[in-house]
Amino acid sequence: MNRKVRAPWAVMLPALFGAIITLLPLWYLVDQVVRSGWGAFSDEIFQDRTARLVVRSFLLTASVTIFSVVIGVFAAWITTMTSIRGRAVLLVLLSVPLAIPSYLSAFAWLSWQPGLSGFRGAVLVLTLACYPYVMLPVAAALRRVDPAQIEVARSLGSSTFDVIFRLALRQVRTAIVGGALLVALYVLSDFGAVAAMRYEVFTWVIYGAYRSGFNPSRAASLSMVLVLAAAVLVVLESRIRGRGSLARIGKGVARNIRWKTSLPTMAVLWLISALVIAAGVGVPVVSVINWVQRDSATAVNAGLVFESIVTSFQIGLFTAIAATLIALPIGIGVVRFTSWPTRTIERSTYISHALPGIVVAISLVYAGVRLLRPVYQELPLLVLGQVVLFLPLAVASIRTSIEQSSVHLEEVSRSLGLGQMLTILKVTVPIALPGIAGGAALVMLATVKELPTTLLLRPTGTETLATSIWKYSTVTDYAAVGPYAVALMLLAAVPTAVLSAITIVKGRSHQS
Amino acid sequence: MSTPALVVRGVSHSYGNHRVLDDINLVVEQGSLTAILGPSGGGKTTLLRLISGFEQPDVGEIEIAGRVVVSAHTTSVPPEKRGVTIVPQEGSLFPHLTVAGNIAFGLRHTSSAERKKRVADLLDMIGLTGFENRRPEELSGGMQQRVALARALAPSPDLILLDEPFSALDTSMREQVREEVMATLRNAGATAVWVTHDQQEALSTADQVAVMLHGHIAQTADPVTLYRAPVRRDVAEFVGDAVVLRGTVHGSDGQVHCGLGNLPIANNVGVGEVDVLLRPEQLVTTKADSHAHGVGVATMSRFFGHDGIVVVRLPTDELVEMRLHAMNLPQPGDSVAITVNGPVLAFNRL
Repeated sequence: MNRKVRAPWAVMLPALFGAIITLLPLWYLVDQVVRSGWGAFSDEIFQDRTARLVVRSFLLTASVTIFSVVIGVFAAWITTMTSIRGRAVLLVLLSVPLAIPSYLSAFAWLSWQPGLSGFRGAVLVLTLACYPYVMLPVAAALRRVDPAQIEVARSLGSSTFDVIFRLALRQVRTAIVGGALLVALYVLSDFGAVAAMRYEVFTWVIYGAYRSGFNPSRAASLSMVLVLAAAVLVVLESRIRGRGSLARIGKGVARNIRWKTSLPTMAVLWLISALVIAAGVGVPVVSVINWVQRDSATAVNAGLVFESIVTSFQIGLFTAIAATLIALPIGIGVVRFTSWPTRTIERSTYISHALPGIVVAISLVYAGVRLLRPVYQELPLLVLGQVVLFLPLAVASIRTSIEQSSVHLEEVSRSLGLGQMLTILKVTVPIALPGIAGGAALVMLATVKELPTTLLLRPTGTETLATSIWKYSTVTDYAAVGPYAVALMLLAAVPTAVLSAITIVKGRSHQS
Repeated sequence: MSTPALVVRGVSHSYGNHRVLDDINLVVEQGSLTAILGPSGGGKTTLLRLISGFEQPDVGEIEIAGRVVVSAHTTSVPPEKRGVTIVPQEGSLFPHLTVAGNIAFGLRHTSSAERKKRVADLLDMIGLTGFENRRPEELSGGMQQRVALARALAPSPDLILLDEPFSALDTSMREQVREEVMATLRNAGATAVWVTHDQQEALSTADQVAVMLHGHIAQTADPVTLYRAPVRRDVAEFVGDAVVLRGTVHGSDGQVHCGLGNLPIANNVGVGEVDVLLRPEQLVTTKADSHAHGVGVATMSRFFGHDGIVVVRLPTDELVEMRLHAMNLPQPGDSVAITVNGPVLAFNRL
């Protein structure tokens, strides 16, 4: 139904503000390239070492994406479509890598197998960090596959193989492709793992160009290439997300059809899952435990560890709150006051999501020096950087939960005498609260794990868990890393557990 | 007479090029129940949305309790300031609030003691005393609908709008909930307008029925007038079952000649070719004697238990469907004599 209601200014203004800050990095990049001129830009881009960089980045992205899809789809399938025991536990264990930062996992592998350094190590670590991005959406989509269709396929003589490959996976291919693109974006923008594995791709080289006397022209030119690659992926992703819906009449699903697994098959499936969990969770956890027990060259200072915990938690909390407050008007605007301005605002927040943290950080350093002098090298600028990076997580989560709540409830509220803003506060927000909280948890998790932006924007002299891990790991003082790593894993594990629980509960309600 | 609770004057509304409402006029007196009756997709819900302020009319004027809320000359009064509450199809209770919280939602500028008392009174009125702290999902569909009604009644609005309030309920409980809701509205002295596509519901409960066909109101009248003296053939056929025969009116003697002989006419009709409309309950079978209006041959008969349906072919080759007691239901081939009770409706052919 067409609703010609304009968004109130109390919604539009904060939303607009959110859109503007997320566009800061893009403005910086364009400004840099324009400033140094096309000649300087093309000189940077069209040279052998840049070409080699492109090839290396492409190889890494492609390999990690392919492996992540294979593992992620397999993991989604065994946790939803088979009758294997302990499916819920398996799903939670398999999603734990989300809580482990890629650089930590990289250092854990390196401290055990120093020879892994390079391409192989980067592929291994990034795949283990990324397959949950495929597993979670595919598992959710597989749960929605109509069991009656599977029964029909069976009655028409389809084998288990046919059911899996011709029916189930066909229907969830949107989720698979969507997950794969998320993985590709992640790999393009990852800094910690490739830097730890000393595999030269864009992000690491940009960081180097920035550190070595701040060569802004080279950093900006390379960032531009990275942004273009990311933009292509984002466009692909949104086009695929728009397509493919499941046709289904009626809504009654009571049962879920599962492939009855025999005992030996179950053992094999468990074994494979156990291997994935061991590599993705076991190695980092065991390494960290080993580190804690080792003697350190530098005495571990409990006070410093505690301080880092507090700092990380603070930054995470502030970012989560700020991102939620900015995302709320954007989400409400795009769902309840759909118009081209609100849609444009919502879209624009996704642009920064495609920007690697390193690019966002450099552009905010630039903006900080020019525009935001008072907060340069202060906590607010770091929080701003994290908000720019992770705002889309909050927007997506809030948007979905508002879409799912009925507009009739708000109309009832209006008819009972509550104005637009009061209705938003007393009806829209309370009903969407689970989604809002979920989004905040996602942002907090991402912020606590985040490395490059924190490295560049943190207030002088302060260390977060992530930067402490980075600082000691790069000099292979793993004993000193231990306590920080334990703290980070625990701090990241809490939001991850909340998110897994939400996924599982949602899955339940889909089934009942 | 007091100020009407609602006056709609010449309201039209389009979605794009599709005109869903065309020159709607309606007056609703205070304390009355008005049903807007029409087939699905006829623009009924849109009319409610215009009255409550969630859509704006292209042209026309709406007045609530003597106050113009939307017209060509004034800015539209927003929904929250109209004094019109709504009960959506599925009740739409706030899931994050208790039953008491839902009912008290619109009571904002009252003391908490007054609010408590009002909630208790309303719960008593809808027979749900003791359910204050229940959550909406713990209630049956009928209970939810009653709470939604109490919520709409709470601020004592000038007008309550109900959008197909019973159609989401199971058939088994629909009638009972309808009775309860209508009794509650009457006890509260509320003015209500509800839309429905159920003829029986509208005719049996409303003070006034507005029949809405193809985006305009074809007739507004009390149920008896609407059924007995519809102004148009399509209205007559929409509000009840009908048998239609060809006929001719020769003069101003109030008689029509058709396959069932000469019959008295109930309404005004001009001379010429007409459609004669008979209600099934007007038709009875008699022994073939001189009093019968016509005699035909049964072509089909279907048994339903306590009654049955017989289709009779008249000498004019027209078919008449009759609902008869099952005892002595004529069988195909039997000769059936038909008598028509009361005057019939006739509409000039176009």
